[in-house]
Amino acid sequence: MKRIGIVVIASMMAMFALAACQSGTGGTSGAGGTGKTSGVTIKMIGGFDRYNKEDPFAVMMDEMLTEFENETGIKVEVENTPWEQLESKVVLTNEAGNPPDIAWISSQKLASLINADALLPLDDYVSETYTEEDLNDFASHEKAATTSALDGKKYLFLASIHTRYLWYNKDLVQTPPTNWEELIEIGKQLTDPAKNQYGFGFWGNKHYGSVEIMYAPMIWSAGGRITDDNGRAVWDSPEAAEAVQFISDLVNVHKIAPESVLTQEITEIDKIFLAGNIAMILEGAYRKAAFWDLSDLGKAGKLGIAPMPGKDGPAPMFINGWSLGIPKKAKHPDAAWKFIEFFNRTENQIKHALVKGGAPTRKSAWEDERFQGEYWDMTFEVLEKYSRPMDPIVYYQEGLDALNLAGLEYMLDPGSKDLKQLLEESARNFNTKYYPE
Amino acid sequence: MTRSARKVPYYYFIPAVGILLFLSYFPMPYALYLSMTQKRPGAGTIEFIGLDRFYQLFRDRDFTESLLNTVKYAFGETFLLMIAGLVLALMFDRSLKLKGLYMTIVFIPWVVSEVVAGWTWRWMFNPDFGLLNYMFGFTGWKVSDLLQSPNGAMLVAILVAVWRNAAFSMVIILASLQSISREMIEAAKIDGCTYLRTLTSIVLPLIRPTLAVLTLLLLINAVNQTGTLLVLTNGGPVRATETLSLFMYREAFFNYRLNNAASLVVVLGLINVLIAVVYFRFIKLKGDSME
Repeated sequence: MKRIGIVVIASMMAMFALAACQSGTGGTSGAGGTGKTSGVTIKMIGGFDRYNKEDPFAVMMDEMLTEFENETGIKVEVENTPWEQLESKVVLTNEAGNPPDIAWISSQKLASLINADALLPLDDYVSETYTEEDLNDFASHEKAATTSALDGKKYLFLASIHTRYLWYNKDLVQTPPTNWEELIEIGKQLTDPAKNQYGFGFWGNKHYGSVEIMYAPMIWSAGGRITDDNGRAVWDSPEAAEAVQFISDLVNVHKIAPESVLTQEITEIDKIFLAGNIAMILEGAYRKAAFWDLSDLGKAGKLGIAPMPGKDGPAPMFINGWSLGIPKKAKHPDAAWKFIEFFNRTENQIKHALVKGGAPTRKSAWEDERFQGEYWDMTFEVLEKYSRPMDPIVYYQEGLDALNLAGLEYMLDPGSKDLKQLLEESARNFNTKYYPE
Repeated sequence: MTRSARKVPYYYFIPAVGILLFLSYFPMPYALYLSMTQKRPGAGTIEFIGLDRFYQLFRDRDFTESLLNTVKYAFGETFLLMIAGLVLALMFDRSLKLKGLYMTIVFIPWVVSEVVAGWTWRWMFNPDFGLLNYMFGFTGWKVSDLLQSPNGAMLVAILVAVWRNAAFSMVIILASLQSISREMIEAAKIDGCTYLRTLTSIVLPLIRPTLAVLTLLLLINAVNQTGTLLVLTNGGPVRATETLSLFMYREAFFNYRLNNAASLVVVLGLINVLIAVVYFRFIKLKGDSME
């Protein structure tokens, strides 16, 4: 028995040494690539099947990719990956030394991906490709969302800029609310739990997205912040507590939002809204296709969008977007950059934005006549007047998760917990763990 | 047969066994390596940090909460599964009308996938549209509140796991019950033993080794359980049902902190080893005392 134990331990040590030797430096191999682009095939991962004719986004991308292939001689293989798995796939395949050459990445995951050493900085490519004039044509929101707060380098290019709105059912809401008081008043008029009718819905379950879409705008409109300029949590302020209390009251006191907002996925709440059981919902521009273009309400012209009501007026809304990035160990980074450059052309920006729903990142594209009408007028108004990026936070998901959990702990049982204490404890734990003194 | 001829079969199965061992056992030392190293973002260099990450882990409140949740979940599920399995096995050890039908009903949850089971129960507990609120509405009790409270959610998660795995527990115990000599039971009846006395003094002692093995298997399974929990509660509400396996999943696939996730893999592995060691010690002690 002892002999067997010795053999097992020795084998494990040998395998441990083998693993250590294999992954010696982590390397920057692939960071430079071969420089060759023509005749190369690059692998892209994204949440779409390039050949799916029933998905408007896939059809648009297929046309764009075909045009790119014809122009450059670079072939693009698209691997269809669920949207929520894209970033983890980039990290894991990069770690294994076999990442795709280009990936669609949610811009708010930037800090986490940099921490995982998964992305290639694009500054060299940018300076070789774009003039000062070109760079000035990109909206400031684009740079804010894709440049690292840690080292100031640019790692991504936004495909389009997504903001958030109050989507409302015009059959039920004639004039959308402009502040908290009006939201509660209109919500109460439209709520009848016996008929499963509710005035308002939002993303409130255990997910950092609920902070992006609901907590952050409410906290900002109350005069608070999520983090300070150094990324330390400051969500234990009285203003933040007031905002979280307001959100809780929507469900627990005024009851204009169904309890399921605290436990169900946002996609389930979306379905309830589109079925006509929720009159107003806070959702993003990325829902344009599903809500505005393809839903029964949208096709019948019964959907409206408006700025989200804040404490005393429209609330500042979080902006982000899907973006294109090159994994650090990509084998063909130069060819991958060619696609990013191609995608960033004004006409391609326009084509993408018209389908996806966010604003193009090029300001010159905003003047195009195709961006006329109720949806785009409101989009640009919200973008210019009421949008802002997330407060600087390196540990993005961890921080937003922490705030979300503190809020949720209160909202699920408001009578038994002290909100201020929960927020203070949450902020203190986060700062102690990630910013120890 | 010559000595070299006797070695020939080994040459045939060594490649297959070698690959299997590699795939089974390589991840563990690699996880250990990841847990003891740190990559510098940007520079791409890797530094050896030893047990630093484990020290930080044991001081991390998220980890201690997950560990406590794992203990509650694993022991709660195992205990209830043992009871449920025993009760069902005792029921099916008799002659019953429509026995086949009842067995099928008991087996259905076991053959349903973890994800389907999780989603089904999640929707049944929906506070606005769930079936359970509708069924129990006349009592005034809002069943869905269970899934929205920390203690209630843990209880629901355990009960769903018991519902799903009771058949497995029953099958193991039933097989053991059916190996008991009927004459012993008859003799006990003739001597005037009640059913309960027969059960506690004859049946349970005879199937104790089976119960011990089953406990080990159920405990290890419960400690590593991920699928149903992920779908049913996603570790919520708040983090009330976030076990170590879900914490590890979150660190790897949401926070992209592979090194942290690897350290959790190592800790989970050690917990599994500890359970097995305790079990084998227990068996050895029992064996020694019987001698």
